[in-house]
Amino acid sequence: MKLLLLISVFVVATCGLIYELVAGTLASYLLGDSVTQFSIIIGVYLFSMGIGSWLSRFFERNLLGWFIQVEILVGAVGGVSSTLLFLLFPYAESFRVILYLLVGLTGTLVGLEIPLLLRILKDRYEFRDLVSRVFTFDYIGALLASVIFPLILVPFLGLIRTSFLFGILNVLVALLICFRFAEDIPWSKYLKTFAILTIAGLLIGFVSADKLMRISENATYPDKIIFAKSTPYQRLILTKNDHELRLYLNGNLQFSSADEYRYHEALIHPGLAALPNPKNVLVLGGGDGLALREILKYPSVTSITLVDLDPEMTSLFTNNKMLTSLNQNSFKAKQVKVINGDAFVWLKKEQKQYDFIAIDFPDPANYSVGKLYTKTFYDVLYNVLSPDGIAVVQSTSPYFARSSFWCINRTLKESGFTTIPYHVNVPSFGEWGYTLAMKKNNYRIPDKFPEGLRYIDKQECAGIMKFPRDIGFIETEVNRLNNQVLVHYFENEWSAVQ
Amino acid sequence: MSGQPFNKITRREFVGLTLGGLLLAACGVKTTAAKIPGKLITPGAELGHLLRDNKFPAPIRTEHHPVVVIGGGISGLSACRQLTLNGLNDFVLLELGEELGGNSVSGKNDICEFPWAAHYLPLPNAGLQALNTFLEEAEVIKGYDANGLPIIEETYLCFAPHERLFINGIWQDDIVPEYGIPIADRSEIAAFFKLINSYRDKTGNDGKAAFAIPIDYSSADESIRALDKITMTEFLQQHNWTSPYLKWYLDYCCSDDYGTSVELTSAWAGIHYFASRRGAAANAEPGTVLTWPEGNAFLTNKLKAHSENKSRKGHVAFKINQQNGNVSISCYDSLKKESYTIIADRIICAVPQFVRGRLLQQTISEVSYSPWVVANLSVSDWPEGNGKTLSWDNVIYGSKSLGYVDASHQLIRSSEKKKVLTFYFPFTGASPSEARTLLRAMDHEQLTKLIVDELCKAHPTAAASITNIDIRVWGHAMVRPTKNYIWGDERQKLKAPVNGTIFFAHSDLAGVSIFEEAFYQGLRAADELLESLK
Repeated sequence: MKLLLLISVFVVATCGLIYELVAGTLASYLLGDSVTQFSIIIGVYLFSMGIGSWLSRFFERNLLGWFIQVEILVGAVGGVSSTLLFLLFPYAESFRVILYLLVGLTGTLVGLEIPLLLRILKDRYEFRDLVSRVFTFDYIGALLASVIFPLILVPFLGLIRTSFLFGILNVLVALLICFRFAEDIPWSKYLKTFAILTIAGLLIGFVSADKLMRISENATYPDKIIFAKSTPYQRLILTKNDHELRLYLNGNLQFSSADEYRYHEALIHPGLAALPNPKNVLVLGGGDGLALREILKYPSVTSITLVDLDPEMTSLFTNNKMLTSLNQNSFKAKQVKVINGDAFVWLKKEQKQYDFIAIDFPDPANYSVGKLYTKTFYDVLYNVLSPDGIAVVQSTSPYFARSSFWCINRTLKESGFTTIPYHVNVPSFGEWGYTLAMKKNNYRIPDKFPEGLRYIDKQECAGIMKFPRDIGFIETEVNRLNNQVLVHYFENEWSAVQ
Repeated sequence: MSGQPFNKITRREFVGLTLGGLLLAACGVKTTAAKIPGKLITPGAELGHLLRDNKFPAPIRTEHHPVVVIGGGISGLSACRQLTLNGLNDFVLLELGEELGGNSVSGKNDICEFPWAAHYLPLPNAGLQALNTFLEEAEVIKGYDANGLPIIEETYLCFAPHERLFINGIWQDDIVPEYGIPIADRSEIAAFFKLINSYRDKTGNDGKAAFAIPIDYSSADESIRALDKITMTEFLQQHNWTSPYLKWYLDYCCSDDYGTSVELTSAWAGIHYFASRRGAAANAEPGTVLTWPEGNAFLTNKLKAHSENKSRKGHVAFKINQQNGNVSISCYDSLKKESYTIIADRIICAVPQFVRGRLLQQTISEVSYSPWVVANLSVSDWPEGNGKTLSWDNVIYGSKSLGYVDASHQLIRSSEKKKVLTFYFPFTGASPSEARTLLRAMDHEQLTKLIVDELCKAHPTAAASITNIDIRVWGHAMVRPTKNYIWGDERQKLKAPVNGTIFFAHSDLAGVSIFEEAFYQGLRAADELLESLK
């Protein structure tokens, strides 16, 4: 009896600490600021263990039965804790309260165990030996947990599976004790059933952890996910509510159908309408076909080449009814030619020159995409722009990422372009920036725009090229392949926002 | 030779490593590493061993050529280039292997090109006119700015992010240990760099740079050259530097550049690694390196344009005789499996000295070489790890390997989950020949295990991401600059022409195996040859 109970101390200590670490890690994933999160979680956990210890005095009879009951409960609560937190994160107004409640509950239950056990074993050991043994096993368990958690559990199992696994271990020990001391416990039958059912539940959770992750992804978006697909290049998510359709790539909002017209009109018309007779147009990125829709409003344009990395993206926006009604079937226009390939690699080989080039890449959030904002890239761009042509570059937000915005401008200039930066308010994005790039310094705000635009006109076009003080020019370095300063600017600026 | 006391430790560690791997496999601890497919390549080993055992058929014909260059590595190719630039076009280049380039060769798979050994060139030091001319020719240098600084083709400058080190559970920026390092160790590391920086600017009493590239341009100042008489470890002891982090870092550096441990590397050579690099460019920070997906095979391809139609691959020179002012070379054509003789007026021996010894029946004992294992891993969804993102050079603290370089890093394409990682593992112990024997006995599965175990120190799930692993064992990868080799007498003797007809070029005659040395050794030998013809 003694050994089995001491082993259960060890398991309880290991599991308890694992639940605490899972909660801390989850909190720092979801809430950020890991020092604060861990510190508070540890504090709440230890304090609740104190509450548990205090509560233990109210248990008078049938201590072994209560001990087993508590252990099953710890396993059940701890086991589902990470799943619960993942799922509740997007719904709960005050996620922190739920988090601390759950940590508090686990802590209280764990805190109950050691005092109960000390009392169960008090007649079997000298007090001196009892305390020494129980706490030795307790602390060894703690060491084991803290070592295997970062080295084995997180990398191999992930948080959700880890909590389920330790929940199962916890309840298994309870079950073992239950069988071993069946005759000493009045309600052993009930306890056994309780334990077996809990293990079964936790086991189902462990096996279907992947599905749960997906469920929780569903919940991290504001609206219902209507389409989700992982392509070799990115994860595409479409969400929908009564008013709007949204596209997310790798979790970042690409457009909302409610205000994308602002973004795309501003991307295309200030540049394209300024050209007297544009014929050949190139679009880099823009696999949603929305920029194409705007370009197709110019009858003089006879050929549009669109280069997008991801064939799944362009095919989705070519074939899906809901999406083609948004881009007005732009991919099916006879002028349009789609090339699925890497823009940099393709551009380097391209011999032809284009009158208008729209560059609509994702923001420079990592070194891979960052390459498409370097001087080397713009040098190549320079070669494919016709002498009187205009290129436009989506240049992230001058408000949230001011250095990033002006770094793109600075880099284009380094490649020999004359630039005209401008900015537009797109409600779902915030203040958004673009840069016109051309070889000559002769840009004039267009007098005429295509019929039927909802946002851009001559007056607005002049307005968006003025920069108020808080988003005005600042000095930056040139973004080069061998320094990628833009990625650093971008990381620093957006991490300050989020 | 020094380093005897370390002999045992290194051997034991090596055997332990190998046996440990075998034991694990035998015990049925199946790692997925065991199932990773790939090739095992031992370049030139077969023909090299034929040469060692001298089992060639008798020559059946004789050819006459004014000049023969033996060895198609960088020094041989550089010599050929220098000959053609000076109007000497009538020569033959003999290369034992199937490809030219020596250590600067590459491979290619469905993902990208990758290096098989040397993979970068630091920004060239100012004043290296001949090297700059070659780099202009190779369109690496595109011009010069107003200050005379070279403008480098931007796609050849190593892209960001450059390097990271896995230490204390995290990938930190830069390779010098920093994350979680005690203050005392940091200050020792800082003191080391302060001293090294002073060496970088130091000139000897003859006015020459204390540490130069090529090595033979360095100052003859005895007070500086004395550093060649002690090892890097002894140098650290002299300064009372005991930090294990500093020692690890220097051991990494010595292994990386020379394939020798810090215990065996001459302090002069160890310091040369840091203090000789003074290169600058108009469009890159000092310390930037030039690199290509295919590594220095890029430079090989530019160099070998000068010996096109003159090179004979798979032809082994196996004996050189001097007769009547001529040189006769016995060659073996491994394709036709027949031997022939070339009578030449002059030859350049651009082979390592242990081969030269066999060709000329000389005993050469002072020059030793470290064996390396280089592997190219095709990976898909490579685990990122905590901290800094995957970089060009990825080093693992405490690993015996040098970590891995992302060969696909220098591609301009912006997104691809499939990559090729080049893994480097020098065997830096005191007895290279024992290491060679052990390596020769290992098969693909055992070597894969060795490599995956090292990677697992930073990426526990590495094996699951590797789809193919091609491994190359270089028996004599690099000359070892152990103490007294660089500034001892033997190296000077080995450089000297024999009879005014046989000239020598190889980076082992400089003492360090780097592109610049091989390049300049080739130039020197070719210039000596051209001079002798006047």
